[in-house]
Amino acid sequence: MEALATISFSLAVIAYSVASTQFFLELARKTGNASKDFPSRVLTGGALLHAGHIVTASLFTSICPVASMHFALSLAAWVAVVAFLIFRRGREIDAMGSFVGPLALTFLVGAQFVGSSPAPSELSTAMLAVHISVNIVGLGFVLLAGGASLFYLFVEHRLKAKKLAAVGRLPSLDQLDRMGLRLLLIGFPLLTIGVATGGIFFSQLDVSTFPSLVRAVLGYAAWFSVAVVLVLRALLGWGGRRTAFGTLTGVVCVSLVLLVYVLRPLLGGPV
Amino acid sequence: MIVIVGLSHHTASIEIREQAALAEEAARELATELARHDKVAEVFVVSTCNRVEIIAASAGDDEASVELCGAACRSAILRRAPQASSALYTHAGESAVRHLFRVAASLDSLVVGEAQILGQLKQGFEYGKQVSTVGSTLHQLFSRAARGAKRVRTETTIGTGQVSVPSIAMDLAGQIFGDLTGRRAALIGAGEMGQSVARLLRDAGARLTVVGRTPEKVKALAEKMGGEARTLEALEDVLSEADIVVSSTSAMRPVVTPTHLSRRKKARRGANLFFIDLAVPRDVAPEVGELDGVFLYDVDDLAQVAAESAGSRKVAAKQAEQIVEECVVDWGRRQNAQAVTPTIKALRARMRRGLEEELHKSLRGRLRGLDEEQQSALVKMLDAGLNRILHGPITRLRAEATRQDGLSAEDLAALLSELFELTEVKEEELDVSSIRIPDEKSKVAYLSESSSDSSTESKEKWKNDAS
Repeated sequence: MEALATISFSLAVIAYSVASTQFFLELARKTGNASKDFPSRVLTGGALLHAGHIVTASLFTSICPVASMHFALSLAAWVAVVAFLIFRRGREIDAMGSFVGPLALTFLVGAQFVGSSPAPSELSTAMLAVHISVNIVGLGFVLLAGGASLFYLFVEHRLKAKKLAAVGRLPSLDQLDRMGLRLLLIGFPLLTIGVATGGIFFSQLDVSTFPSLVRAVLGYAAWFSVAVVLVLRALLGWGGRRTAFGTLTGVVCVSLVLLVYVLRPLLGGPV
Repeated sequence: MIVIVGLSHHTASIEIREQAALAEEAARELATELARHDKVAEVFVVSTCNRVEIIAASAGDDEASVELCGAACRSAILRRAPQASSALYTHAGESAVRHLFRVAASLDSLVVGEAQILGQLKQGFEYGKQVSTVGSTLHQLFSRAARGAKRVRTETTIGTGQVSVPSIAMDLAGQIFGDLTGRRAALIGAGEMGQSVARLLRDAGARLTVVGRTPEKVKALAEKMGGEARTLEALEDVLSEADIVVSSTSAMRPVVTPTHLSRRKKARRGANLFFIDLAVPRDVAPEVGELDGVFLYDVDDLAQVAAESAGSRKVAAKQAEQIVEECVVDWGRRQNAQAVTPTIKALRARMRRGLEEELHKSLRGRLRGLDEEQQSALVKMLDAGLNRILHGPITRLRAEATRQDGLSAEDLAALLSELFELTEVKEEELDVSSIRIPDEKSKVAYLSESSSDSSTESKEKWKNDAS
C-alpha cells in the first residue's frame, strides 16, 4: 500500500508538473493552438493520481483524509483542480490552468512536510470531519476564485495599459468575473459552515494560544471579506476590479490561516 | 512632376492629425484653392484618420516649379495646423510616386495590409475630380497606384488572415466580454471604418444602436445596418445601456466626455464599457479612458496593437514592397515613353507633310487625270506606306525611351528633332491623322507656309508648279 501511495504521489507530481509547463507554454503561444486539450488532459490525469494518492496514503497511515492537516492541504488543492476541470468545460479559461497546476503541485508536495497526525481527540470526530471537509472544499473554491481574480486584474491591466502582445489568448474579463462570482457562491456557504463549526470548537478547546487566536481572527476576516464581496455585488451591482480585490483579500486571509496551521509546531501549538 | 506634401501617423501625433484633418467640403476647398496657384497644375487632397496628404502635379518639371508647388502645399497645411511643421514631409518625383504607391498598397498604413486606404484615396481623388482640379497626370498616377495596390492584394498574402482595425477591435471586444451575443453595441457617426466594426459586432450577435445628429440620416443608416436609430440627444441613455461603443464622426470636438457617463455609473456600476474611437479628431475625450471599467482605444492604440501583431505579415509586406518598386519603375518608363510622344507626333507630321507636298505636285502634273476615288485610293496607299515605314523606328524609339541605360528620352527627342528639323512642325499639324488632299484654297496657304521646308530650290520649283 505504501508503495502504491508513493507511486501515485510521484506520478501525480509528474503529471501536475507537465500540465503546469504545458499551460504556461500555451499561454506564451500567441498564435495556433494545436494541442489545446493536452494540458487539461494531463491535469485530469494528475487529479486522478492525486485522488489515488490521498486514498492509498490515508489507508496506509490509517488516518481519515478529513481529519488531518496533511491531507486537508492536499485535498483542498485536489478540489481546486477538479473545480477548474469542471468549470473549464464550455468556457475559454484554459489559461487559468497556469495558476491551478502549480497550486496543486505546491499543495501536493507541500503537504508532505506537514505532519499527518490526526486532530485532537477531545473534539467530536463527526463534527471535526464536517468542519475540515467543508473548509477543504470551501478553500478549494475560494482559492480558485482568487486565481480568477488575479487573472482578472492581470487582463484588465493589460487592456488598460494597451500592451497585449506579452502573452497569448487569456480568458475574457466578463468570463473571469462571472467565474469568480460562481466560485464564491459555492465556496461561501461551505466557509460559513466551516466558520460556524470552528466557532463551536473554539469554545471547546483551549484558545489561549496565540496561533489559535490568530487563526480564528483570520478565519473570520476571510469569511467577512467574501461576504462583503457577495453583498456588494448583490446590492450595489459591484463587479470587476473592486470585487477582484475583495476576493483576493479573502484569499490572503485564508492563506494566512493555512500558514498558521502549517507553522503550528513552530508557534507552540500541537503538531 | 508629382509632389506630395503631408503628415501621417508615422510623423504626427493624434493631436496634430486632429488639427490637420479635413472634412469632405474642406478637402474640396483646399484642392480648389491650391489649383489656383500658378505652379500647381493638378491637385487632390486625401484626409483620413491616419494621414492628411496633398497630391499635386507641378506646373513644370524644373526645380523652381517643384519647390514652389511644394511650398504652396506646405503652407496650406500649416495654415490649418500650425504645429504640424515638424511633422510634414515632402516627396517629389520618383519618391512621391513611390510614396503614393506604398500608401495605396497599404504598406504605409497603420495596419499594414488593411483594405480601406485605397477607398479613402479614391474618395480624395473623386473630390478632386468634382472640383476639376485633377487632370490627366494625376488621373494616370491614381489609376497606376490603384492597379499596383490590386496587384499587391492578389499576388501577396498581405490581405489574408490580416489584422485589420475592425478585426483588432473585435478581438479586444472578445477579450473584454467573451461572447458578444446579446451585448449592446452603439455606433456613433457614419464613418466607413466604424460601419465595418459595427457590422462585425452585429454579425457576432450584438444588438446595434445607431446614433447620429440628423434623424433622417440616422434612420437610413440604422435600417442599412439592421439596428435601432437614436439621435445624439439620447446619447447618455445609449451610453447607459451600451457595452461597446464605436465612434467615427467627423466632429471637431469630443462627442463623449466623462459627464455623459454619469448616468451610466449609477445604472450599471461594475459593468465594463469598451470605446473604439476611430475618429480623428477624436470623438471620445481621453479622460473617459481613465474611468474604472472603461477601456478606450483610439486609432493610435489600435495601431500599437496592430504593430505588435504584424510579425506574420512581414514576408508579405516585403513582397509587396517589391511589387510597389516594379510599379514605380513602370511608371517612370511610361513617363519617359510619354516624353517622346510629341517627337513621334512631330516626326509623323513631318513625313506626312512631305508626302502631301509630293502628292499635291503629282496631282497637278502627271496624275492630273485621277478622279476622286482614285485620289482617295492613292491617299490610303500613302498613309499605309507611311505607317509601315515609321512603325519600326517609332517602336524602337519608345523602347529606347523606357530603358534605364543609354540615351534619355529627352536626348533621343533632341536628336530626332535635329535630324528631321522637327522644330519646324506646326502645332496644328500634330494631331492630323492622315494625308490630306488639299483644295485650291488650302493649297496656296499650305505652300506659302512651307517656306522653311526642304531646300529653297525645291520650294521655288513647287511654287512654280503650283502657279
